[in-house]
Amino acid sequence: MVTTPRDDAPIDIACAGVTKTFCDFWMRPRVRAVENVDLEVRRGQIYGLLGPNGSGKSTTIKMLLGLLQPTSGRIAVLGKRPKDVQIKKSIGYLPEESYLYRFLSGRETLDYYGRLFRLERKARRERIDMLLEMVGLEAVQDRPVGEYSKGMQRRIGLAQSLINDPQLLILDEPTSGMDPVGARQIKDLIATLAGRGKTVLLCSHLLSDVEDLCDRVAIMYGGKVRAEGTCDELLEQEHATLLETSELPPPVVEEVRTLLRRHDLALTKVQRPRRKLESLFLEIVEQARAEGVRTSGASSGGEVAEFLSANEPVPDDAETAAKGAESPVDTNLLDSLMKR
Amino acid sequence: MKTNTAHDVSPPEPESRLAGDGLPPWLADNPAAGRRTRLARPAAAIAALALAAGLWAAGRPATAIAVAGAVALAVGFVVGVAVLRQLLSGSHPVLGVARAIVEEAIGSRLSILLVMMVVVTLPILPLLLDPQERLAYRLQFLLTWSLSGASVLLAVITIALACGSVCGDIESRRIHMTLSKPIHRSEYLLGKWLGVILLDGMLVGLVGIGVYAGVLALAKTPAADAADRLAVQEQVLTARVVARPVHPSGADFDRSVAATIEEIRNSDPASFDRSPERARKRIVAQRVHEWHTVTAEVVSSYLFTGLDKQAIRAPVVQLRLEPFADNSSIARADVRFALWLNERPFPIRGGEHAAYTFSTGLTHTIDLPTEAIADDGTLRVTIANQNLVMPGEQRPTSISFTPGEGLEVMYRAGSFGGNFVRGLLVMWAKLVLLAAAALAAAAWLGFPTALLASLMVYVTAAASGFFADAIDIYTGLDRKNDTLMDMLRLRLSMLVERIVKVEWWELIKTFGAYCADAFLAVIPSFGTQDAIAQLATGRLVPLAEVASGLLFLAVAYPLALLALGWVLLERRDLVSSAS
Repeated sequence: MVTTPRDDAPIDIACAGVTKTFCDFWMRPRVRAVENVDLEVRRGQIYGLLGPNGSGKSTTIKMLLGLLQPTSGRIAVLGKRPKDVQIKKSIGYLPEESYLYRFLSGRETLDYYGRLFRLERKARRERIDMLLEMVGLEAVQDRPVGEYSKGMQRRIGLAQSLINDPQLLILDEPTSGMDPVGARQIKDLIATLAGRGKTVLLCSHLLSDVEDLCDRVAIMYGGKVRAEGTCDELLEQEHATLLETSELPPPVVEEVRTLLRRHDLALTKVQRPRRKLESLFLEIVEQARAEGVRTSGASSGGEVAEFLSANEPVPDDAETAAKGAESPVDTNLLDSLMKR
Repeated sequence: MKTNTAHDVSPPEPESRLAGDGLPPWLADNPAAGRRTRLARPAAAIAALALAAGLWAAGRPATAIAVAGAVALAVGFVVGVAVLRQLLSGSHPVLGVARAIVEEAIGSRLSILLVMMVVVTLPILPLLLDPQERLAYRLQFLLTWSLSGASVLLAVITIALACGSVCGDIESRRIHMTLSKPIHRSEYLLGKWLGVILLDGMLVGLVGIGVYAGVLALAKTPAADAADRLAVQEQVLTARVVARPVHPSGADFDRSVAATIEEIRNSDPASFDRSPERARKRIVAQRVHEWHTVTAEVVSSYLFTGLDKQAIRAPVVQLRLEPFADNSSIARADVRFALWLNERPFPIRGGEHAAYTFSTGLTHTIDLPTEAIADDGTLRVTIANQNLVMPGEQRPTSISFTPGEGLEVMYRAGSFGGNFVRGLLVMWAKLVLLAAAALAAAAWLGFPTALLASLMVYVTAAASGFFADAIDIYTGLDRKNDTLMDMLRLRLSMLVERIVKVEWWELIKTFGAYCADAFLAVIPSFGTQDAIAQLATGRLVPLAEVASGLLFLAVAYPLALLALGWVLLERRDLVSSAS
């Protein structure tokens, strides 16, 4: 866990009794993708939406983005209805796959999305330079994204989701298709952004990603939220205690066992702790890089782009992203959601 | 557990770079590849120009000009695209979407194939003309076929691009990334439309430059004779106003038609009652045909009005006529007639009133002196049939003219260049409408269905006159002489009549015809603005026609269609099933 948002922080996402039923051409109900979902994500939180394929995660996200209309229930994003275009100035979205124009180059792709945020040319150029460096695609920025590998497309997708310096970042499977190095970098980036006050809704079925990053988690199955809470609340095993010491010789272990037996307790497992495979992999790659071994793939990526502000309004240039966040929140909508 | 240390990691071989996030070897670490791509197009252009020079030197100037023309058009396309990119370089989301669809068009194989067809076919077309044919006809052929062909190709490009772009965005889910940004769905559609119509504008301009240059180059080649050269100047490379004779109409004409109807009703009430409207229509058409027919017994006069002598700067005006021999079984007969202009015999040759002898089924032009027009702007053309009695006939053949274009007076009122630009504007306006129709369809339907629906709109608009006549003949109604309310009332009464008489099959057919009729009423007709035919026959494309074309075809209808598309897209779920 990387952040500890206050409980009284503003609510950036609120869903109350949201249901989505897909109908066929004759308007007959066909699939109930999401059923009676309640969610509440506060500012600065990393919120994990977990679930297997078809559990309703992506449908929920698309409703939050106004791409789908809920069949029933109410949604407020940054205090307004999802259809409100103004709030989208403060949202960054990375879909489960990077749906890009194959004929545009990496730079042109970012330029296209920058224009959708009405960023002036100079601001666009600066941000694109920083983002390309950040995601390690400077060397291939002029090649059509259709020629990019899947991992590179994810990187450019991530870059486009950050071009407006969003207050709310919605990431659907951000590490899919990435190698472990890229995946680690994205996880670090998410943690950094959350540390700077951004709200992150992370949708994934990679449990380790969610466990590493998220403050709160909702687990969905069959369109319903089956469990919701902090990772500690959900994962803590109340019937067991874990002690970590330096290496114990067998006689000491036997003494501990005897001691526990005296209190009617049993020592159920004695083992040496293991490193995570990810940690080992990253260490090897880091060493290879330190020795100057070259690779033709995306480079490691730079520091977090400067313009990704630390919970501050967005720069002055050309009515940029923060307008949605600065605009007055529809308090009635929020209140009505909270009363449910 | 054994782990590899840093010392165990071997530097990757060049072949192994595809692992992980690698690029294909032909792309990776190969800066020369991009340079080669950039140099390929100029190199191809230079090679083509060298080929043109070689053909010229080898005594094949026409082929050399065609090759050079193709290069010029290709270069023009590249320049046009650069201009479009500059035009769409602003920061507004609409411009961003417009720029993306322009890039999509350039990157799309179908669009490029169709554009290449235009670029290659246009310069080749003059080579296909028969050099033995009269120059005026060759120019008319070139104008008609090049502009008609380009118009059809551009319509297909427009429809395919507009439908393909929106449907492609939806089906590939690219639209999720676009619409999750601060852009209204209406702005998205507007951006697509703007991109397509600017691209259309560029292509129409390119086609215009190519055709205009081709026509001027062809016009400089030798004519068959002096009359041919005069025809080129006065009938093709010109812009003439058209006047048609004043038709019989009004109360007298209506009374005469009513009397004939009454006569038929009395003589054969059963056949008349089956389809009274069809009978009336037939009688009116027959009367108009009779009026355009010159029999052996009478002389016929045709009054042309509104010919302003002051506005006509040329010394001559043209009488354009296409005669037919009514009761001759010979396909290409000759007809002989004499003319009077405002009661004076014309022409006088050697002190005598000469007669004209023309082949039937062909268009002929007679130069009339402008001074023959009366001061009040009227010109009465009197025609006397002087046909000889054909073997086996009792009397001379009647001469008739097709109502409408069969008998016209024309005079120069502008330059060919100006007229050409007007024609191109009308052509572009039609593409603007098609782009909006295709986008509206794509906002609602999948690609194949949207494509078919848009093509149906195009075909209906292009051939609405034909379809309208076909439906009129089928239903026995005459839309031209009825108000909308009359038409509705009449059609409703016909439907009721079919039900009362229990004619179910007739009822279904009539209902189908009415549905087609309603579709025709909604789709604007391109036939009323046939700028290409006007250009090819040297007729002025009226400014009012250009203005109404731009207003209705390029603004009013497209905005209505885009509004419809926006409503449909706004209500549409952009995901078809649970994910």
